Amino acid sequence: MHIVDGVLNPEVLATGGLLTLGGVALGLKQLPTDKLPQTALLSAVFFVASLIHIPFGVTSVHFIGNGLMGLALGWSVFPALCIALFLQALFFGFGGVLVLGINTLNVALPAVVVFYLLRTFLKPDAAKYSFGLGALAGGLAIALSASMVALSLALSGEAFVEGAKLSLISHVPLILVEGLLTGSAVHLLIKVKPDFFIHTLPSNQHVKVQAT
Amino acid sequence: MRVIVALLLLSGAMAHAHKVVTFYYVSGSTIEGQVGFSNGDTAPVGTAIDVLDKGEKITTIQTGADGLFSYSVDTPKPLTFYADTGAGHVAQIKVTLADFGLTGSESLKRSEPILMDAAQLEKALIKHIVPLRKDIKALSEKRRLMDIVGGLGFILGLFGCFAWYRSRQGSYAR
Repeated sequence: MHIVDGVLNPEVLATGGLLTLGGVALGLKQLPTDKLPQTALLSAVFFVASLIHIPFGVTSVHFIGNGLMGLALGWSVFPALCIALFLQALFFGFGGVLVLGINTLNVALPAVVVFYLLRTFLKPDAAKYSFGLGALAGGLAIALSASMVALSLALSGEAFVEGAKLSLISHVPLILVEGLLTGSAVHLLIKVKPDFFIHTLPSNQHVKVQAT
Repeated sequence: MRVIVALLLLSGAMAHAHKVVTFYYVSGSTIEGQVGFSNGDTAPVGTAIDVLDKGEKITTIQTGADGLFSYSVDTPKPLTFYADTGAGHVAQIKVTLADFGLTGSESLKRSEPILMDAAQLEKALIKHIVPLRKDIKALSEKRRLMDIVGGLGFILGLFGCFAWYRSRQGSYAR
C-alpha cells in the first residue's frame, strides 16, 4: 500500500500533498477534544499494525484498519494517518517523505468516504446488522485504497486498468481479513462503547469545538 | 605513598565501572578473544577467565596484555568463557560449534597449508561471513524495536502537544 519515493510524477505528488494538507486541517478542526486520546491510540495502532504480517495463503497481509478508523474518527482520520505514515517513513523506510501526501490521501480518503456512506446506519441499536456494516466498511475502504494506489500510479504513467486489476486482485485476501476484523470490531464496539464512533457523540460537542 | 597507591587503586576501580565488553573469534582450533570495558579500556593483565564445558569448569586461563586471551582445543566443542573483572563486572562468552565453522559432527582436520583456487577461497570466506551477517541482522532487528517504541512515543507526544494547545485555547476563551 505504501508507494515509495521516486515513482510518482511531481503533479501527482503536489496534488496529493495539497489534498492531504486540507484533510489534515479539516480533521484537526473537527476533532472533538474528548476524541483526542482515541485518535492518538488509533494512530498508534495503525503505526504498529503494519509491522505484523499474518501469513494468508500464498501471500501475507497486515491489518490496515482504515475502515474502522474512518467510522471512528470521520475527517480526523487524516491527521491520525498522516502522523503514523510519516513516522513509518522515518523509522522503517515504508514509503517516503515526498510521497507522504499521496500515501495519506490513498488511505484516509477511502476512510472518509466509508464514514459518510455508512454513518447514518451505524446506531447503538444496530446490533443485528452491525457486523455486516463493519465488514462492508473494512472491505470497501481497502478496495478503494487499492484503486487509488493504482490511480496514483496510472496518473504517473502506468497502465491504469491493468494496474488496478492487479492491485485489486492482490488485495482480495486483505479485503476479506479486513472485512472480518472490522465487522467484529464494529459489532462489539457499537454495543459496549457507542461513543467510539464520532457521529454518535452528542451533537453539541461538535458545535462547541467548531465554535472555538 | 599510601595515599597515591589508594588513589591509583581507586582510579583503576573507577575506570572499570563500566559495562564489560568482550570480543572473540575462532581460528582453526584456537579461540582468541579480548576482555575490556565499554569505555575502551582493556582488562588488566592476569584477569582470570574460567573455561566451562557444559557448565563444568575445565580450567582457568588468564588474560595477557591488552586483555587478550587464547585457548586451544583438541576437538571443537561448545564452550563458555567466564571472565570476572571484579566489582560485579562479569562477562560471558559462548562459543558454539558454528564458530568453529562446523555445522554438524564433522571433526576439524589439521592439515598442511593448502593452495586454494578462487572458488574454494570464496566458499571459505562465505563460511565466516554468514555468522557475521546473522549478527548484523539481529542488530538491525533490535534497532527496530527501539524504533517502534520511539514511534509510539512520538505519536502520543504529538497528540499530547495538540491537547495542550487545545487546553490553552479553552483557557483564553474563558
